[in-house]
Amino acid sequence: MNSGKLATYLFLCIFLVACTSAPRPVKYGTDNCIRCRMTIVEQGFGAEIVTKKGKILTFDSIECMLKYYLANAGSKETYAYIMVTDATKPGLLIDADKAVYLKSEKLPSPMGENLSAYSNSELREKNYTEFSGQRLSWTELCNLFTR
Amino acid sequence: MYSIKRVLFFLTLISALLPAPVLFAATLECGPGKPLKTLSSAVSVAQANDKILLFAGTYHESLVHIRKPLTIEGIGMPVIDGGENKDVITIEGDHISIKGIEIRNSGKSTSRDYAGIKMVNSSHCVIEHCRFINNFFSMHLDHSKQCIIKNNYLNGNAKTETASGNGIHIWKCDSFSILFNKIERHRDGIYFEFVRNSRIISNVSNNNLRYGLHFMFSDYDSYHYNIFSNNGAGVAVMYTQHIDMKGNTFTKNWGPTSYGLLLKDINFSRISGNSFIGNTVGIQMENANKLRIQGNNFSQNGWAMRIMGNCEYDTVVANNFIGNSFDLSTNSSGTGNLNVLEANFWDKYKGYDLNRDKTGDIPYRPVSLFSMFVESVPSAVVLLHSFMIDVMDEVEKNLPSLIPVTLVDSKPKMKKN
Repeated sequence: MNSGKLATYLFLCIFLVACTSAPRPVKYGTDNCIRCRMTIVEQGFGAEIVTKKGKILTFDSIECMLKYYLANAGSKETYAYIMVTDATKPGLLIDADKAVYLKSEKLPSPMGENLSAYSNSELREKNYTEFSGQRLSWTELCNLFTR
Repeated sequence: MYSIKRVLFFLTLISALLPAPVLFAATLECGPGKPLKTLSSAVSVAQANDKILLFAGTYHESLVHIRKPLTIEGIGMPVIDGGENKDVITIEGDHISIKGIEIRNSGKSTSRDYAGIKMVNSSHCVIEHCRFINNFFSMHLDHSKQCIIKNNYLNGNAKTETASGNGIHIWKCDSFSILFNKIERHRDGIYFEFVRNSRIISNVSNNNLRYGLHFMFSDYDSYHYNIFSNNGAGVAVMYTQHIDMKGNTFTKNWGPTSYGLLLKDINFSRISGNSFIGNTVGIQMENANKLRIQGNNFSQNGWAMRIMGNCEYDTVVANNFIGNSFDLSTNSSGTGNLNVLEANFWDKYKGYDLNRDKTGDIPYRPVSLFSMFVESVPSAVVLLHSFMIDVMDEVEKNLPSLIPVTLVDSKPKMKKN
């Protein structure tokens, strides 16, 4: 391998690495919500969308993310990651379509829709027995907000 | 002339008509050296409508739950120290008054909203002359109506936005009066979500980490003569309508995402007689429609007003713009088609008044070309006041091609309003 080839190879490696889109934790107290402009502070509710180009969009709540996502569903921009926070593990982002949801008046979320997300249904069941409410999957949640 | 006999007769009649519990309400004394040593014991032995006098001292208590009409009055500012265990006092009932006590150290949590005073499903309650020190939320009030929060001092000792709650947090309430309170070092000083028909008057909200005042989904409210200064992001009024904002002072809100007043998704509101002094942005407007902005003073701000392209039918009239880096800025050259700008005083106006009607004879275009440039390339702001920029602005002012020609004050005032 001559040095020119090596340089091209290295350059490509770096270039490709730089292009990978990956989620990063929401910076609470610093990041602003793309949709409602508020500084994101509640660690149990943050959400994030990462576009295929690697642009990171942060949201203060599931409802803000969902409304943004549904409003831009028809746009050319495609998303690599759509993530929500597990309400029982503040700061931990999980895949939105694999998460399960609870809509409960007794668990108010930052933008008034009372939505919380959980990594699995056992965790959700704990809060459901304590606070009751409406149990939803990602698809059901999308349908609820598409109306 | 009424005779004494007659007056006595009426007095007897009135007292006979009063409900019995009020007449026979007892006063319980609670404190060091008194038969009742703790507030919770006094609350549990008290009958409805009794008065509890709480004498000076430190009470290490939490989870005091009040469910009956009571008046609790502190003598010499007694201190209730919650010891960071959940809620300190919970009010759940009607006609409960708390006066002159200091409440300290509620619990802190990322998933629960622990508070110095928590109020649930209550009405006709009064919280006055109290001090709230180092609580997560000082007051957390929900599903209640017709209450008065007056003359309190709140200090949350907040260090990070995420580890602190709001000062006065009101959620799903109606007809509240928030008067003469001083709030500092919380996350949001005053927080309104789904609150209607309420007023916030003569409060001071300083040094809060996020907003001095935060309104969401709350209609038909007013806030008058408050002072909001040094808050992380200023004041935010969003997703609401019919708000009356009068005579407030918004000052020293500096930072890249900080505003004196952030208006987002708000309709049919009035902003009059306020002062915006020394903020990064005086008023930021996004999707704010049918507002009347009248008689305000904007001075020493980076941007006095930023009106985004999605704002329609707004009237900006008889305001003073003095010593701002940018008077008005927008992100769209179409802004202004449906907005009215009239009879404002602009210190940058260089026109003349030949007919002496106190109104400039040539119109003033407050959006400079450079401000439009900065909207699309924010870092270009380093070129502010450079010679080329000034030349460019001057040429554009005389031969407008890029700035929104419709966003124009056709009758600028020659002197301050």
